[in-house]
Amino acid sequence: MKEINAPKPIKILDMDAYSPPQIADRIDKVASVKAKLTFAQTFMLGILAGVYIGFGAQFATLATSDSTLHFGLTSLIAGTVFSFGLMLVVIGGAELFTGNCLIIMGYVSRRITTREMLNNWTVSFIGNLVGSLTLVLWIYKSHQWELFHHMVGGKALLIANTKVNLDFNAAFARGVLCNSMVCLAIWLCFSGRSVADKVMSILFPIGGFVASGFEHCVANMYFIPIGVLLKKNAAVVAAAEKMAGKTLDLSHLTWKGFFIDNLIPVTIGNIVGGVILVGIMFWFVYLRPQINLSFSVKQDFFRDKK
Amino acid sequence: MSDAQNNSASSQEYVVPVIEIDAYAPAKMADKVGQVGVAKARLSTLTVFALSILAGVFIALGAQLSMLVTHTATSNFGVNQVIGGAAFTLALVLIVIAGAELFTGNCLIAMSFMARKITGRDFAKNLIISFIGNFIGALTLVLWIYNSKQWAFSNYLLGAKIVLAANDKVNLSFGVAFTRGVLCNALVCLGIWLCYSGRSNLDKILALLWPITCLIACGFEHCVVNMWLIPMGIVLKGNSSVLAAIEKVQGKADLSNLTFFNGFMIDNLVPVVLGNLFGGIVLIAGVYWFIYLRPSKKI
Repeated sequence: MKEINAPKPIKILDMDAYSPPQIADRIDKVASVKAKLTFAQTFMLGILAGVYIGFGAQFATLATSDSTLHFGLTSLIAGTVFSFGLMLVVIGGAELFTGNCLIIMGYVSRRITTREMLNNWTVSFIGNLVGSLTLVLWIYKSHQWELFHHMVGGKALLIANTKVNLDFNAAFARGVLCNSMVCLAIWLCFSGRSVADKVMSILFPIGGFVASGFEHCVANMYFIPIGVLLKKNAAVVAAAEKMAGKTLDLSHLTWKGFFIDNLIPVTIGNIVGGVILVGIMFWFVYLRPQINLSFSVKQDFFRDKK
Repeated sequence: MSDAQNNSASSQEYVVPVIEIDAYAPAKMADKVGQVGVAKARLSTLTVFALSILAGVFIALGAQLSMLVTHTATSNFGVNQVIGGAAFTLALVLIVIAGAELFTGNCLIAMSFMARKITGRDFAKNLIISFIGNFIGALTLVLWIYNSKQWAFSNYLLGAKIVLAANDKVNLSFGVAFTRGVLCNALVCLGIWLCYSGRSNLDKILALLWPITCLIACGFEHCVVNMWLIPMGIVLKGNSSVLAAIEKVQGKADLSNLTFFNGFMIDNLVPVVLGNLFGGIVLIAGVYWFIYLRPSKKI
């Protein structure tokens, strides 16, 4: 037991990845930086995040549009290319609503006020929506969905149609699982120092959640509106029906279907997953004030002496 | 004691580099594992418990991903197994970098116990709490995944794949399950061992990729994965659409042993946990302790 009491050597230069308690500390501090951004800054960065995630989403649609590989492998590829969107957000810097759920850690440790936190979430959510819809417009005008005999558009339509036909429970549970993984990706990024670290850290959780078919509210702000627009194009509908091998019921694929049937349950799920399952959980583990809830008297005694 | 300190100080004088950025050498890694054991023993019970719930959730996330990417494969068995294994690496990346207490990985801190830095009681307590926490975390994810209806993908083929995989696991004989458990945890602990060598995230992720891919691809038995997979199979067994999908895949399947107590606990978890303990504590921690940390005595 001598090692415990021996003085620790001081590290002058630390090259290693940040350890989990350091990550918690860094995220805690980032919360107050984000809270200090002005309204215009948060909003513009929110628009950028919407556009970035939209880029990832359209890339995933394109990459899987004519796949003859089996379903599982195709979704893995979709996930891998989608992670490009989050790389832009994390490395390029932008305010993504789902990732910002982690600033709850700064709120619980009283670095920022309720108002600042809610402000950040609302403004970035609206910014993300505006950004995604902008990208929908650009992609629609680019006629990129005509590529490969309208198959790209057909795939986009199929993705959107599946998303609006989920029942509330499934959309909610998928939202929870999705944002847990997104926030974990952000958490991993705070551990890395170089860009290569961050890219690799994002790849697994983000690739994983997209492949698993979980629901991300900002990605859906691109996926579903582009489907709503493409629904009016007969060639795209024909391509989608050929791909699905049956006639499609597109009656739910409307703006009402987008907001009511998908965005609301998914957003609630995302908040639960990011705020409670990741943010509060890690705050509890690393940042909670020392309360003596521990079951072992000896250990508490031990910790006090340190 | 003071003599020994002086000796080590003087012997270090001419080898201390100003800045050291190389990967850690094995002897240094063994030393680090020893220190990590002490740090883990210092954590409060509640912290270890919360972190081990997270580890259970992380493993289950990786396991469901690996099921998902392979469930529609009809040929190229080997290649698909490798892809499934690579996808599963997600779980260990989350555990090692985000930080969580995994029962199987914690077997490695037996080195700290063998080097007498922590007591047997500390070590056993950590293993038991993390085992219970992992179980709770994995079962939580059974609930979430079930609610998400993700198992209905590809006309319930994903559900069928999970049930069939779970059924294979509960029908293993004791010897086979034990051996696969030994091999599995030897590879998990090697993965964690390699991570102690790296400094950056990139180092750690690439170091984990190979052993973890290998163990899932080869079909070895990891007790925490089974805590998600088999209960998930038991829950899905009750769904008629999943049963119909199973019939389409491989005709009549005998699912009679796929039960929680007899099938899962007795036939699978007991031998696999024993195997995991043996593989992690004896084969990896014990061997590396013997090589690097044992007190130097002349025999």
